[in-house]
Amino acid sequence: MRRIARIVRRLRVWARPRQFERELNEELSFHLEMQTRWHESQGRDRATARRLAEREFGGETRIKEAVRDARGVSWAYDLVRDARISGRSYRRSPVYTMVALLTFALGIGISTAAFSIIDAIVLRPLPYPEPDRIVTISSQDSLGRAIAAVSAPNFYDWRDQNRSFDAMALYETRRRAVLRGDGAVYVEGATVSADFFRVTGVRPVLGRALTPADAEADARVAVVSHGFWQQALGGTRNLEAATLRIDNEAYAVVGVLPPGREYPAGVDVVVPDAFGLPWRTASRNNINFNVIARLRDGVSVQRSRADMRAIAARLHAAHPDDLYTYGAPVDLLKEHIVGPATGYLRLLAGAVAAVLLVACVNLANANLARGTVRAHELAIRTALGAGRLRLVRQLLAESVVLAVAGGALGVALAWALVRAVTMAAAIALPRASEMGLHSTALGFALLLSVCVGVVVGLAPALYVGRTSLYATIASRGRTTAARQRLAGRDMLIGVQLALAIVLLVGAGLLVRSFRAVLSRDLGFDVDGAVTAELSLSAAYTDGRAAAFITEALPALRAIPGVTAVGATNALPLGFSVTGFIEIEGREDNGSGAGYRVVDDEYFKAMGIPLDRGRVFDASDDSGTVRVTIVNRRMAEQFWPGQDPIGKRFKAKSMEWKNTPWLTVVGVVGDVRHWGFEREPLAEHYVLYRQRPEFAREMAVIIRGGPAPHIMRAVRERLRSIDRDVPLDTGTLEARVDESLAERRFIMTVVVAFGALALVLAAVGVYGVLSFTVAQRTREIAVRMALGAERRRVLVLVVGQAFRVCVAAVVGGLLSARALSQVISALLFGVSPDDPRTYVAVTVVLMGVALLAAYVPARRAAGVDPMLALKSE
Amino acid sequence: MPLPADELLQGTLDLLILRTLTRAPMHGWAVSHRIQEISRDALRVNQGSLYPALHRLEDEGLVRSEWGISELGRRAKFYELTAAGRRQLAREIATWQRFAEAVQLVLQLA
Repeated sequence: MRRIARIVRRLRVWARPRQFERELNEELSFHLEMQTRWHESQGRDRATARRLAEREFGGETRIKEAVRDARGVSWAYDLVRDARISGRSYRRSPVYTMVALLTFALGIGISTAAFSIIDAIVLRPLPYPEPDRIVTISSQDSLGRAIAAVSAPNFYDWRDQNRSFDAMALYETRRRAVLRGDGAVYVEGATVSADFFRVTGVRPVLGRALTPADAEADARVAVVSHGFWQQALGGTRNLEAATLRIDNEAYAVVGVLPPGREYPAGVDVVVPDAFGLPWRTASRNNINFNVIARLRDGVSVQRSRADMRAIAARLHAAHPDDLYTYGAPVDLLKEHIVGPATGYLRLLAGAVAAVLLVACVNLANANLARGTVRAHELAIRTALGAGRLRLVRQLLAESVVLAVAGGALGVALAWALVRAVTMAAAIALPRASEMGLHSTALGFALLLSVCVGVVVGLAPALYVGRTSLYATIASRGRTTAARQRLAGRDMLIGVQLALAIVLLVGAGLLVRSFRAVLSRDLGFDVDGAVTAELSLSAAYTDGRAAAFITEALPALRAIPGVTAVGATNALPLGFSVTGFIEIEGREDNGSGAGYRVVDDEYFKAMGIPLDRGRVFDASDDSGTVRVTIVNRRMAEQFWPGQDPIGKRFKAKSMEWKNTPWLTVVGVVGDVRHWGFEREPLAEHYVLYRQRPEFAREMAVIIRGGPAPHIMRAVRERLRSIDRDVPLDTGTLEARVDESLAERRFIMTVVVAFGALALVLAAVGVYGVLSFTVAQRTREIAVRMALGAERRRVLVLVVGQAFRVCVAAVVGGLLSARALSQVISALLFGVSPDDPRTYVAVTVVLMGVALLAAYVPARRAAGVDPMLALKSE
Repeated sequence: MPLPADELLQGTLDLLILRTLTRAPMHGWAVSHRIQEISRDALRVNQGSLYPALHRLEDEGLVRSEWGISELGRRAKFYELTAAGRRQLAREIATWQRFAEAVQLVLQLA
């Protein structure tokens, strides 16, 4: 208690140092006055009295020091004084200060940004009540692989039989067309079962959550995300009046989610569904949904796993032919969300740590160099009575002050970086909506600044503790006996170069991977094609939807300049559907193939080559024989060595009842529908007129003419057929770009960090050698006076850098090789120990380092021995 | 020849200051003057020790200070004992007396 009271008293003094000083002065001068008066009262005249009083009083400064000590304020004052001296010393060398400040800002800025991102994704709990009680439940196939998608019948069996969960919910996400005043827009929508909000526990900030009653009644109600509410509904508080037309049906908005609570990620509209018949009785192979659940109190994840294992075993025994009923793995929701990003995050953390280390080494080196120069100043101050501890503290204070100032700049940089990362919508970082510079990140930045400041400041501080006063003062700062310290600095430079090599190798491997990806053939013509995705309202019957497409396509072909128009239910690099294939005359072995619904001109519009047979034409219609076109892969897989034309098969999951035979009429080239990095799968195409069920959600591809012009024309023509048709226009190029965004982002980050490390390392080499040359001017002058050639001087200096470089290259390449295994999952078409990358990095690094060494070396070689020696 | 109070045994100055302040709140000069007066000039308190001691006692919570108007009509800092200061004084007086008796005994009988 007493101790706390004392701390409070002290803080009160520290908080007002000026007042304390003023009062102390006043107190002492009052004493002097009283003493003077007293002497006067003893019969002395004023002047004598004053003199006597002053003599008795003694040294005022010393008294004040003693009083400050008694108050424990000396320490705080010293700190302020240290900071002031630092400020002065930094003003004397503005260039050094600027460079150091920027280096600190850079290092602390990127570290803080990386920390913010990692904090938001990994460290923070999910923003739900008791988030560690929420789990996901997946399907499992015969190979033991977990598959996030689940069938509705399995869900109902799990829900009814488990003894581990309080609530379990089913949901699916898909794009929904929302009609607004200026036309339709697409938003990500989730359709959720009764207990969804009981599982997540999210409470809307406005209105209410969806209830089981909503699902039961198949109510047309929706809960919207905070962002959507602000953007599309103008942030209205009055939800009574808020309705949305979703897929052309009116929904009443009943609730608004809190900001940053988007689960599933990126979902703007959540609507209820009973998921009753026909879902309950659908095939268990029809895995369309995701399942989340909340653990019952006292039930561990392990126990729920055992429970679900037992249920899955029973279901498998009852339905042995079903493909995804081999298990029901349970995972924490957080692991499910964060898991995919951990690879990148580890890479990010590693790269940031390396850059920070390189930056620190530079600062420590620069500080060491300054320390040597300032040794003279410091030695004199020591001689004048400053304690060594005091000087060490002074040096530490200097570097901490600079580091914290740099850290403040760094926080601004981090803010910009985090914003840039979250704004880059192209990359799907989990939990992006929760990112920002939180107080933990600011705390991290401060802590890091102080630590870096201390580490960097310690280098010269240790040095001050060791040197002989006399030698330093006598040598006037031109230490020639600094060999061992130079060796230490060489080592730091070596570490720096090695770190740069590691980052550059990583960058090189990722660049080569990116090029390998780009060099792959997608199987269709990417350039110069506009896409328009449209979804017709539920008011359209299947037949009317097909009729709409049949009417729309000629209208689009009539746009001036258009050379080809095709239609499909699924554009490449988006979603794809696969199903089970039964070949005529063969045992059904559960093999599968993808299927797509297209129109007659699709292959021409996409530039997909026809190998054999024919494409669809006007002779194929709803009443005629069901035809299909297969890709090369499918032809080879199902009819190896035979002509597939005329063969028949059933696409079983495509049509559940009365599955018709499809006759193969053509073979076309393979398309990498899943992206550059995936191999094409067996796929077949059917005609929309024969499968009108798909016609409501089609996309058209239009070639010819400039994209903006075509987009406008497409919009006009389609709206003239149906004013309310929701449309989403784009280009194939943009789709391809988007599919590369993640890889490009990772590559850009690592390349940027590699370049940063290289530049910092070059600055480091330059700085240390410049300093060495300046220190050794006298020695070099003597050598030259004694007949050394300029070339030899050059070699002398560059040679120093060269030796360090070689050691760094060996160490760096070995570390890079060990570490490249870590990123092997991110590599594509290039081995983690790709020799070309290693050689290229070595050449670049040596080149840059030697160039950085050459500049000071030339300065050394340019020394005029006479001038240099005279100036001493 | 007056004895400098602060060169006496450690803690003696604190004891004298605390005892002096039991009568009334006083400013620093009054404390030193009073000690000198009471001891009939035998003890003289050096300013260099007085003010650090006063501040230390305040820091320890044994005295507290307040600015008031002095006999000169000028602002002066007055110190007064706190409850903790009184308890401390009682303890120190007891210690001092036992110490003085012990020394006395040694001087007489050794």
